[in-house]
Amino acid sequence: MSAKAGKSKRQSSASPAPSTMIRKVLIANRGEIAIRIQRTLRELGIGAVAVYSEPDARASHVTRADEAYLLGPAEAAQSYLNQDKLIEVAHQAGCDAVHPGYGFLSENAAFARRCADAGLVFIGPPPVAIEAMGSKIRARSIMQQSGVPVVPGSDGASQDLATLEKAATAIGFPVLVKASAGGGGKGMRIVERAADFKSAAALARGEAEKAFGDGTLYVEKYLEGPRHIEFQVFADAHGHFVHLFERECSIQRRHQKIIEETPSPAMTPDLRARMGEAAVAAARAVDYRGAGTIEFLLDAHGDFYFLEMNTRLQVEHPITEMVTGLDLVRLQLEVASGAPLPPEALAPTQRGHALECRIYAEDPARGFLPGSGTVQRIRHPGGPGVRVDGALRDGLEVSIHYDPMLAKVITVGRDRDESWLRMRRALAEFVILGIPTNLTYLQAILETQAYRRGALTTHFLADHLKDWKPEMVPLPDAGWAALALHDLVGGRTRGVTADASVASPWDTLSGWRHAESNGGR
Amino acid sequence: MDRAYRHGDEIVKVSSRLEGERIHVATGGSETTFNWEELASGEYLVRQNGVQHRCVVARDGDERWIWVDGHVHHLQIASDVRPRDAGTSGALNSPMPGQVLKVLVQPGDTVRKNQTLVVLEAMKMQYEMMSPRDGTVAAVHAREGTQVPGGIALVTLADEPGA
Repeated sequence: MSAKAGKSKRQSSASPAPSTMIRKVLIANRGEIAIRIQRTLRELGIGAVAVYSEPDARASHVTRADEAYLLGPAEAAQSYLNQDKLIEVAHQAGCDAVHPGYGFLSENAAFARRCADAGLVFIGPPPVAIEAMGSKIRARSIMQQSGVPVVPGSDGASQDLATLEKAATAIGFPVLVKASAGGGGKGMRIVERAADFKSAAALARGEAEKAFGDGTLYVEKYLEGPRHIEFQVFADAHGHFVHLFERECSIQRRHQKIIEETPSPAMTPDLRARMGEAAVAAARAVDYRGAGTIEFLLDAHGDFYFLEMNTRLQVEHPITEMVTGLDLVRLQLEVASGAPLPPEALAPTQRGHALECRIYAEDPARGFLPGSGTVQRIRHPGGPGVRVDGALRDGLEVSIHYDPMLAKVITVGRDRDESWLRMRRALAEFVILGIPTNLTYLQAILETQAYRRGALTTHFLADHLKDWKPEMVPLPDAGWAALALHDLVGGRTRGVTADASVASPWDTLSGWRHAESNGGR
Repeated sequence: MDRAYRHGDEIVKVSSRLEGERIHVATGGSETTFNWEELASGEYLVRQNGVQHRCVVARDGDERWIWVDGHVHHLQIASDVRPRDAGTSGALNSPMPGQVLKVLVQPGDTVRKNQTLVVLEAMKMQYEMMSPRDGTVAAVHAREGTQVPGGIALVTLADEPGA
């Protein structure tokens, strides 16, 4: 918001980047985000160069590009993470900039430096900002120094249980006792009362020693029913720091966001102003440039705490675009070329409500196992307020090598009810045949009363869909008729092409299937 | 055409008769007649007295998928019925292609139902493959660090005495 825009207090350490004309960009990514970036480049008349691994040779981000170059085999280390090869391709293709997308090399400071050394504009923040935010401990201390609230916790210096208990009492119960070396819930205990502290901490220490060979403990405030709320921030080389409002991403499965929305149902103008101010302060603290996201936890009492900063474009950036009318990839390009943020970004407005559902190739009927295989048939949803960012097409091979996210459905409406109605309609309209998807799961979440009320927490799925199983919907007679028709006349009428699976054993069975279909046209 | 489909846990027998622009279908009971046209490859408009359903269909081998009324249904031709999973049999099969991260048992080990025998990695996630029943490991086919296709035996349990 504009309130915090304006000249930075201190002179920016790097002098404002000289205006660079960006004419051709290498997109160091794959899938939907590569296509998303291509689209903005095309609108701006900037060349887009795709790169790919061997199994991605026919992927949509490759077939849609003007130029495409092979990086190497499937393994990311030899393809999408292969820095030497990426820089070589960028030179070979005559690129002047590299867009890393999200994931892969997007938060790799060494790659950002190598691009700069090779004379390529890295479309992202300065390497020092990536590094500062890449370490959780460093980021936490930078935030504390800048007055951004962090989850209250002990410093972990003194390790005797009495001192730790004192720290816990100072923080206030309930607290979380965590192993410093921990992970995966091992060496972690929620402690509700002071009386339980010592025994719980002793157990946590024993577990930590056994699992990690290190019994160092850390005490942190336990947040009950927190929401995950993040702020989109932007900064340019002219001292402007702004936020483009919040996104609520509380609906998470195994720490993976699956539904996001903006504005958050929990937001008030006052809270937005305070959180936005903290987000802008966080970006200033690391002398940020370009697009970034400050993630916070918001507890049930309305207190918020810094979680981490993502120094890149987020998967869920489209919902911000839908309510602000801004193209975040375009803003990234403008900032990277040294231009100031445009007035629309310096004084952004929020209009309506936007929702995003992530479609994953996972089978909810089989414990969310990832599915791979051939996408047999796709029909995308459309119509008012519906946007699909995806990389799906008929015949696409979904491989096990990369992230199982297939597409994002984004809807926008005048309010939360309308974007919800549109999302329901769009998900029912989305036809994806041949591979399992989580569509039924997303639909089930949208139908819960708690979701409709906007009563969201990061525990939402555990609280409301713990024992959810996909419902068995009977096939109507018309469906049985269509199934039979497809085997009897499929692909033979009016010159329409046959299925991708012509070579399947079923089709090569002596042609008896066609023998019955003489009644066709 | 008579055909049996597996739809979830059910086997549904379907008889169909094509007659020009009409198709007659019976799923057990009486026959229903629809008018039809193919709108695009695999996309059908199926009509009865003005009520219509747009159906999108795909097939791959004996697998069938159909989208109708906002739902995707996944079916199999049931003439090729195989046990859907190991159940109480002696094989633990890979449910998908992936990399074998860990093999936690050796031949001769006694295992309990739901004990993790193998850890697979696919699409950046790890999956614990659990024993279908109590028993003794007869053979371990999975090797750590190797890629396996979907549907192959990772571990075989010895036949249960008296089973």
